[in-house]
Amino acid sequence: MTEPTAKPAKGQKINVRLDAARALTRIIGQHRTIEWVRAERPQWLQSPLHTQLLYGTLRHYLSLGEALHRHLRRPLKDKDLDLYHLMLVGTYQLKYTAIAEYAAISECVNGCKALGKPWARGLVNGVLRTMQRDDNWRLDLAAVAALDHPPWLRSLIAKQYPAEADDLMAANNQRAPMTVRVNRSRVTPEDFRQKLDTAGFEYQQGPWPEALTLDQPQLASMLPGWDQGACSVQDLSAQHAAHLMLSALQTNTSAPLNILDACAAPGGKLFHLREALADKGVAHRLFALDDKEKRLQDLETIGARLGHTTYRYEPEHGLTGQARANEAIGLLCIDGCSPNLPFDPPLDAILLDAPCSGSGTIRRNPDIRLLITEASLLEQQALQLRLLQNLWQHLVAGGTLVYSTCSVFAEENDQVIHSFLGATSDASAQTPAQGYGQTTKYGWQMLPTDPLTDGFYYCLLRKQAVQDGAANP
Amino acid sequence: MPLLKILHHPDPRLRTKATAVSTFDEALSEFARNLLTTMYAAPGIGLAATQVNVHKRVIVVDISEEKDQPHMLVNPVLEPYGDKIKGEEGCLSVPDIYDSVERFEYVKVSAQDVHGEPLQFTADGMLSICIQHECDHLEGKLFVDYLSSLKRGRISKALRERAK
Ligand SMILES: C[S@@+](CC[C@H](N)C(=O)[O-])C[C@H]1O[C@@H](n2cnc3c(N)ncnc32)[C@H](O)[C@@H]1O
Ligand SMILES: [Zn+2]
Repeated sequence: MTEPTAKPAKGQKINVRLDAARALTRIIGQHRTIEWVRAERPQWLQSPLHTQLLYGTLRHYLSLGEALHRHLRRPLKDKDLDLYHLMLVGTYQLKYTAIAEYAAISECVNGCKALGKPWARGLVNGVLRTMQRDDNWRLDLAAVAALDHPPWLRSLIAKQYPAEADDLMAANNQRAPMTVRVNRSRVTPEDFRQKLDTAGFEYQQGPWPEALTLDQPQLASMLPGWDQGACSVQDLSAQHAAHLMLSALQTNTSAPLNILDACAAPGGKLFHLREALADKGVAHRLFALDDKEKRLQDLETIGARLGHTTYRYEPEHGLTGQARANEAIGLLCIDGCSPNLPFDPPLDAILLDAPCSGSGTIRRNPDIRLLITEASLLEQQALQLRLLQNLWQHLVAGGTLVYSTCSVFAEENDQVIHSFLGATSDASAQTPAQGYGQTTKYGWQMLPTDPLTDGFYYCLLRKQAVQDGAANP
Repeated sequence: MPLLKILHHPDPRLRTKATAVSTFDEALSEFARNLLTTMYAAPGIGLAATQVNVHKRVIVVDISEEKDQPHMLVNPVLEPYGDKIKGEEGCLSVPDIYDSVERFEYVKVSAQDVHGEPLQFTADGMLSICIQHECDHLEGKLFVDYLSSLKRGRISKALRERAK
């Protein structure tokens, strides 16, 4: 037999509610990410309604689930998780959208058949109709954002941010801002702002000329000059990476600086760094690693749109053998923890934008709160420390490493740096103070309670310079 | 290992009634694995031995999204029960044709695994439909047999023309 949905029969239309429920079942039942679903079923997330239903239901998964449970006579069996999600998507629409209620309900009811469970039509219809008539649950679900966080996550936030906990969780349920980074290699910020003005976009100027935060999030492809690479979408918090790096570089040497982005895909910070170095006229050679080939290919595609040429770095040619200074970016698919990474002579600067829980981007990625666990934070921590220790060996004396994560938890931030410094004699944390966010023991923490930034962490580490002549006492 | 060749309707060999398996040896396991690989490659969610011109009572089924929950059933016996439900079906032996067929909602399955060990379970939803569809193949029956004679005629004609 073949899958009946492999090809919808003529005239049969797509059931967005059903697809949203199926996506939820992949995420919750099989511990997949939204990103994974997008790669597997690109056609689903092309529908704005699907995206709204999926993101919204994930954001309120726990509190809506409570409400739904109260209306189910008995809990569904584990194998009926798909039905549960179909009803949850219905519940979300009743509470949070202006979609006509009869349409929301009947589409969910129709979805039962395609799941091969037509017996559930009556059940789904009954439960959703009762919920439609009953307003109490909707009033109960007043904005208590804490209920949309699993208990362990709630306690961890309360423990690390006692004063901000409620605001932080409320921020996690907000819509994320959209900041544009003008590609200064293609267009001047002034010209780009003019294009935005002409097209009727309203925005706020960020701390650098290239950063513009839109008043209303847009489809990226609607931005002026998008296809010609005039700009990228990049949160303000992430745009600090390039500026922090630039402020720390010793640019008084005449030899080009060799700089590595050690966890580079899909290249947001890498390309920003490229644009900033070129803008400031700093002679450099850029290299980028990632351990996932597919993600490196995405990076290449994005680079092509932005006009940033890349090539595959072949170590036998040496750092300088394949591209001239200030030209193409050398890419390498390799695990950053591998012994003897091919960077000899050592690098002048490294950006380690480490893989992390993403706990600072929960409002952008509503699946994160349901997928991360306390154990996974510690697993990330171990990997982050290994990456840091391994890369450090490839940094020149006097060089700079910028460590960053989009996490708000100390486990992935100061605790990593603490362990690292404890075991490394030639490193010191020298993160410059900034006007906003919080200064931590070693670094700098931004929180999503700032309406303009995601949660993000930076630490600037400096490797001790070799003392010429006299040894250190 | 080469993929097995799938027969296409209206090939008369699809009408053969399969006989019970009595020898549970390495050759049987290997055949079942080949059948499964052929099904995944097609891609399909179920395949009966009949469809690859082996007239033994063996079917393989996997309706999971991840293709990681295969059932390999030898000498399956079905006890369908519950309401009749209508669902869309397609068949690897009737390419590109999809239509609604009535099946029982639940089915109690008794069968043997490839080593001859007995197994029993109850299926519902797509798994129930798929197992009923595959067991029909072992009887020489196709899902299009359930459709009106008008539709059947049209399908045979379309497939014959495509085969030319
Ligand atoms: C936070 S993301 C990087 C985002 C990127 N810097 C940007 O701004 O667009 C972390 C990246 O690290 C990669 N990664 C994870 N483990 C790695 C490892 N052991 N070695 C190298 N890269 C790794 C992941 O594939 C992922 O692309
Ligand atoms: Zn078939």
